[in-house]
Amino acid sequence: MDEKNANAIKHTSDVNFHGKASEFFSIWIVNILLTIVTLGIYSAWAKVRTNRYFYSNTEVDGHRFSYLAEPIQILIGRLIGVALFVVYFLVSSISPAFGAVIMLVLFFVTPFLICQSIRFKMKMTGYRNVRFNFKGSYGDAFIVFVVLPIVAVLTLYIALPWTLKKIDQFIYSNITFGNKECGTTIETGEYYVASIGALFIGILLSVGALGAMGVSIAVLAETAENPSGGWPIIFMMLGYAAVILFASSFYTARIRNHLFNNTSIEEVASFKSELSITQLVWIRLTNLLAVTFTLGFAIPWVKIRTAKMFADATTVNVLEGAEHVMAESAEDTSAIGEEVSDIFDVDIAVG
Amino acid sequence: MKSQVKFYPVGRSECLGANVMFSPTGKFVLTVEEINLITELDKSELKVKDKLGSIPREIVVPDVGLVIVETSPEIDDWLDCKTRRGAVSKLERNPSFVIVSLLLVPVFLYLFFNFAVPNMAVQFAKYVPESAIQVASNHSLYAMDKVLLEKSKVEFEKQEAFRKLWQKTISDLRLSDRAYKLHFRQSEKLGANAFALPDGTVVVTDELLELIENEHDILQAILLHELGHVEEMHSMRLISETLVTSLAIDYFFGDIGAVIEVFGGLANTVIQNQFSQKLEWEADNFALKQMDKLNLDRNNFAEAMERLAEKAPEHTSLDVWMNSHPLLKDRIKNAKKVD
Repeated sequence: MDEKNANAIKHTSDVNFHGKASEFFSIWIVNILLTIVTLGIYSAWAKVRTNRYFYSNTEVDGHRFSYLAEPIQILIGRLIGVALFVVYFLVSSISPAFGAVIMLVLFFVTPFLICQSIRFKMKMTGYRNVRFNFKGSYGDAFIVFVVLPIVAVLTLYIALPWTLKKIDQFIYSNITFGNKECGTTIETGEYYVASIGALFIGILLSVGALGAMGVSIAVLAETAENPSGGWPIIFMMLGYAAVILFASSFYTARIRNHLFNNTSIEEVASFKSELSITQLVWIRLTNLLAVTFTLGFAIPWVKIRTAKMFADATTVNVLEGAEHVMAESAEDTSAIGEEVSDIFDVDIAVG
Repeated sequence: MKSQVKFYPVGRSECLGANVMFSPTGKFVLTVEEINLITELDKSELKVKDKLGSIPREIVVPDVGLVIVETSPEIDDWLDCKTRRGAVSKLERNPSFVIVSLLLVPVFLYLFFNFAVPNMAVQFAKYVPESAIQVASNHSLYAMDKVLLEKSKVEFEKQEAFRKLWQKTISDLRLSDRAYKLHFRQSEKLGANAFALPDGTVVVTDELLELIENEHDILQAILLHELGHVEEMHSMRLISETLVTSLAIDYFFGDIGAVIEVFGGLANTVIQNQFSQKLEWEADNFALKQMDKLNLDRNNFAEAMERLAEKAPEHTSLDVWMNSHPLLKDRIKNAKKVD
């Protein structure tokens, strides 16, 4: 088949998510129980079960994804990750100076860990019995994750949207599916629109919230003999949460749509995302309320409905060549990178 | 039993329709008409993924490909009998076990954070080397001097008088052989305050001296509270408690998405504050005990708390959760209660 035909759209497929909250609730609660009883060891098995549940319940074009990591890989990675985290934590609590030295080392190690983490995640993702992979190099990662963020700070964050675009571009142009490459044509302009929009929403809401708070404090002070106490703090926290919620949802929805609409896997698939901002705000708001008022027991329901929302907002154009991808030799990859960066909280979520 | 399955030949993204015969004798026969493939294997040669919820079963036929078949009780039984593969899934599908988990998880979490973590922390604190404690204390004081503290404006003679009294108290109490040092600093940012570093250095602000009007006995009460923090190794205990808690929350609840992390952070704060409050109570009771030994009136401690309370804003019911220290009114009550 020649290249032109292979890149033609064969048909369009919805993304179907089949997970059920009741079923996942049982898996989740048993995971936690076994994790506690085994003093954390089972957490590796729990992670694999959770990921398998979400991957295998996601269906595109009649085929489901699979999560391929073995628990023991995760466990080893976690043990190393925890050891490094403990050393870092103890050293930096004992002496801020040593902590600073470690931060400097992390500066150089972080790009490596991020690449390792994305690579692990990709290699552990299978679709149609073919694995994804990630080919980003340390040098490029160092530029986008260390040099450009410094540039962003030095330009008083004017270059930040451009940096964020470069990061996404680095990730999505280095992903492969079998012997096919992923490509992206995302544009810097859209990142500026999303960032400035988010900033604008943030400022607008902050001004509004401060005004409302001023009024409410004045009212409370007048009417209540009792001290108003913690209420201003509560109002402030709620206001802060609302600002973050609206501004970040605006950014997330716009960028996700832009990213999906401009990314494709050669001869395999292109994507369409129609995530609406109000939808995202609504689901995040109700998720937070549900989790807070059930003291965490709504987490399984929240995870399922969120996955469903993202699936429903996405469609995939299946291309003519999708049946003809060849797998690369699947040598093993170590889970260490992901776990180490997981725990230092620099893990990057892909998709 | 015969089933329609999806077959993915190894090394390619192609998917073919196929049939599998699961025979009662344990033979697995895969037939893919499209490519004239018939493979017969024994059950033991297959790599089968654990059963999980109602997702289709994944069966890897080594060197041949991947077989996906819809889950059903018969197929699960054929695949999992005489193995432990279905064990966890059986627990997950057992309503009584799920209900038991639902009850046990909160109980275990409570026990874990209330007993296991604090006890681990006490053990850990014993093993922290003296040199680490020295470094930690020196660096912390250095950092605080840079950011929060100014030179004290209290005259040197007065400072020396306080120090002399403090040294006498220490030797009267015959505690560990730490070099207890007393420093004075001025700090607008901290206000009336005192704090102890793990090596036994105690810092008192000018603002605090002003608040207690330089009364020696009240200062002793406050210093004894700080001494309690040092003697009971609270800094190191709090560090290890913080460490274990953040790891545990991460592992028990995993990644729970952007906005809900607010919830995780809140849970962490509340737990940390409970630890910290417990340590404050220990330090208070340590101070009260030592005051009895020294024949100092316990009311001095209550007086110190009352002076602080005058300056502090009123409490709300929220403070019990959101504050690192116990409520002042409870601490006063505790000091005034007769054992």
